[in-house]
Amino acid sequence: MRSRIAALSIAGLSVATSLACSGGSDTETDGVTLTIVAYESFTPLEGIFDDFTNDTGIAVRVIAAGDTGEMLAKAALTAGNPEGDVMWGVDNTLLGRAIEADVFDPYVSRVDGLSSELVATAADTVTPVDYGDVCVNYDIERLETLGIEPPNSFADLTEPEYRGLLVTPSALTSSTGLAFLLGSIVADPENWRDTWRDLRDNDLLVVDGWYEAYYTAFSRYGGDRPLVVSYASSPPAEVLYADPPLPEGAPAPTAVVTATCFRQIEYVGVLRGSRHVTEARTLIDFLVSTTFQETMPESLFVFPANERAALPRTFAAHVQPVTSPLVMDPDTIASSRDGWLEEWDEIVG
Amino acid sequence: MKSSAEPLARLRGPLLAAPGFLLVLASIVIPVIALGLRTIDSDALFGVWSRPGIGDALSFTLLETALSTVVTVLLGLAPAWALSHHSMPGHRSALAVTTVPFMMPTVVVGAAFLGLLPDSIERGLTPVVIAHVYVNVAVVIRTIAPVWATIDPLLSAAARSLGAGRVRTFTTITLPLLRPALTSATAIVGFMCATSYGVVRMLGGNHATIEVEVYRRAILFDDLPGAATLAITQLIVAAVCLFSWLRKDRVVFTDSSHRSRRRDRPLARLVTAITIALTALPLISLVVSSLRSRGRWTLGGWRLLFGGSNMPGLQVDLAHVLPRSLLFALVATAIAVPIGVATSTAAVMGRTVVDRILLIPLGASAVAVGLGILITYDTAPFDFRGAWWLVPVVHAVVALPFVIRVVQPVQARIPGRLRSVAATLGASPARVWATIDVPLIARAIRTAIGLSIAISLGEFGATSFLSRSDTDTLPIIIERLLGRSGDLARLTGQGAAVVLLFVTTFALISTSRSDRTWGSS
Repeated sequence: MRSRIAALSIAGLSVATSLACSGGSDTETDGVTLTIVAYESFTPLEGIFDDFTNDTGIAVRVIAAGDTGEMLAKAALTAGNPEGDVMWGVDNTLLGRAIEADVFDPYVSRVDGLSSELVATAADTVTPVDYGDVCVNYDIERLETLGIEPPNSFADLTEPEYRGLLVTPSALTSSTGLAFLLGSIVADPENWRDTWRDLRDNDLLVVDGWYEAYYTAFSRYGGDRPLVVSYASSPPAEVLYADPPLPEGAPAPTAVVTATCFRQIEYVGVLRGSRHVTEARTLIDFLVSTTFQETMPESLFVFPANERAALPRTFAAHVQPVTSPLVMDPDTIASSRDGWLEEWDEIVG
Repeated sequence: MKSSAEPLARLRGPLLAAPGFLLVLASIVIPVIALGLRTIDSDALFGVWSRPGIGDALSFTLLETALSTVVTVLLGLAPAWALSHHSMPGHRSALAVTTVPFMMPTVVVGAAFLGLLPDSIERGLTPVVIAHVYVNVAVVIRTIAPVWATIDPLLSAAARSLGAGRVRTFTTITLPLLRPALTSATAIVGFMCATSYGVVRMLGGNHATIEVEVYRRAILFDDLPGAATLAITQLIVAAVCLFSWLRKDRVVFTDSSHRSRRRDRPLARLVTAITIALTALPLISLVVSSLRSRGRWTLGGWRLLFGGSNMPGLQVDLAHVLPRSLLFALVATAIAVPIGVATSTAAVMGRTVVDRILLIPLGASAVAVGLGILITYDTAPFDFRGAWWLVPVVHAVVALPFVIRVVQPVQARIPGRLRSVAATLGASPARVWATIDVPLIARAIRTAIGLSIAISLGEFGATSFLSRSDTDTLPIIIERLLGRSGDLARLTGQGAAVVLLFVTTFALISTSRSDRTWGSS
């Protein structure tokens, strides 16, 4: 019987390997296959790479895992012998760490229309591909019921009027929470610690992740907090995904406090150790071309880094323009992040 | 049982034990050690313990583990007694239902659970303990009920007629007979709580377990040496505990109800009903929640799930995801069950400790294993990074401890003389195994298949951390959908969670049906 079990295991293994091999080989015969390493929620429009493959003969596969922090930890550990050729989605809160770990082979795309403002943040190492803002969102109807005006700044949130109204994901465990903390530091570099002490004393609720904040504590989803730290893209999503659908032309049920918006910029880069550097650069040029960029708002809920890319209608109609977002240079974030987090943990924890 | 004169016979045990041993070695032990060798320096080895948060994590881990385990075991005794002392229609389905929370990903159960907790409950120790009880009580029921059912009621009756009270009868007759099962249940529940990750992150407030701290060090603070030190320490402590607590004759996770049915007792009926109600409440609230939006009933999420409508950013290809999840579950089961049975057979044949070694995955940190696999298998021809089969293989490793704890105790109870008689009559060892062991452990194997399928279907932590290409499973899809804003994102995510709930329940119920072949021993 032992032999039967052994035979079974061997059969199992060989089936597995033959499937694994066939998976790789049929694409490789046509030419180069590039691998994009991305975070879990990278869901590009289906078939978006087909035209690229037809034009260039370069096939594309995506491997994904975890969140941005997990992706970067793995990239740092495998720097020089990477899991793929191109990395999608390291952001300005983590770029400094990625550069320190020597993850990238420098390349900045020169595609027409790419925002020079965003390129300036990329340390001549990577190419900005999209951006989004992390802002306080509010439930319009609930605030009206309570008879409270929406807040206009970080300072407003510490007022007694807003006591017990705000929920945020933890800066320690959530990239959204971290962006909110960084925003408060940019807004008031001297006194942000006091702001957070006041927020804490004003009955701030800190939860583990964005999901708990938005779907369990936020008043729009049955919680009792009408203010939540989320994204500038959340109000258009509330319109697009409304069930039952909102009447044509109705305003979004939520809105953002633009003065609290911290800009998160995401980058794409060539992973150092890739054996297809030229092809990888071609792919990066495609990712920042208008063809790809115009599909991003609705498939990834981010805004194009290419200024020539048009926004889809729902987006254009329901996005509040964030004219002066809070921005912070990746180097500063890299050098001060851990210290700030420890201080924040002291205050809020 | 075996003739030691024959060299082949002496090799039989080790050969049977080898696949499981190698699998755990290759997938858990070597990667974690490799990560340690690559990163740990003397600074981390001694310094990590004094870093902020570690002291709190250590004490919180010990405190929540002790409390969660004691409360789970004590509360689990009541349904274990009820399910072992009366026969009610749907009895096995009841058992399956109580097991479902153990199998579901935290994002599903935790969120459903969070919705039912009163808003006034502060995040911290209390909700963590409650959630641990909810998730792990199935371990206690499934471990203790089958043993309790085998205790001869005449023993208690005799004690009572000699003048012993109920309490005295329980402590002097029942408890000693239950003790091995109790120890086993306590050990497994303790393990699950000590290495708890999702529940603690979601409900623990600013508290962390060591498992959470490994994650924080590795991912947030760029402190791999510290993370690896903690992970290896955790692995060593887990191994020591396994060896000192668990004996191989202890029973875990078997199906109850194979013994004579007792008379119906209203109290037992009541306890069972309460247990099922408490277990099902969060699950039912999830089903309802996936069908309601803005105070109305809706099928919006379900339509998106089953391809009835289309929405950018919410494409869920259930027609591909569900078969793929099931395929992974079958591959994982095809690996875990044969290896588990082989290991169990080896353990029964000889005095090997391999069955206990294979419980080590229970105590391993998922992040450390994930990072370790990444640097261990990174060079051709062993560059496995991104390979699809890593997912079912990892699921198999996670399921293996439970397969062994199901099969091995049953196999150990087969009287040795049955095999001796068969051997004396001229049967080869393989034939003895096929004609004596297999029929007697068939039910246990079926239960193991169900558990293994359910574990694979619901596995999230390790799957999420593995780099994968086009291998999204249901829990991954759920997590992704629930990461977006908007009614339809929530409805579709919860709908997918309900699909997972139903598939898991079906797998557990359909494999727990009794064929009543167990009669001897």
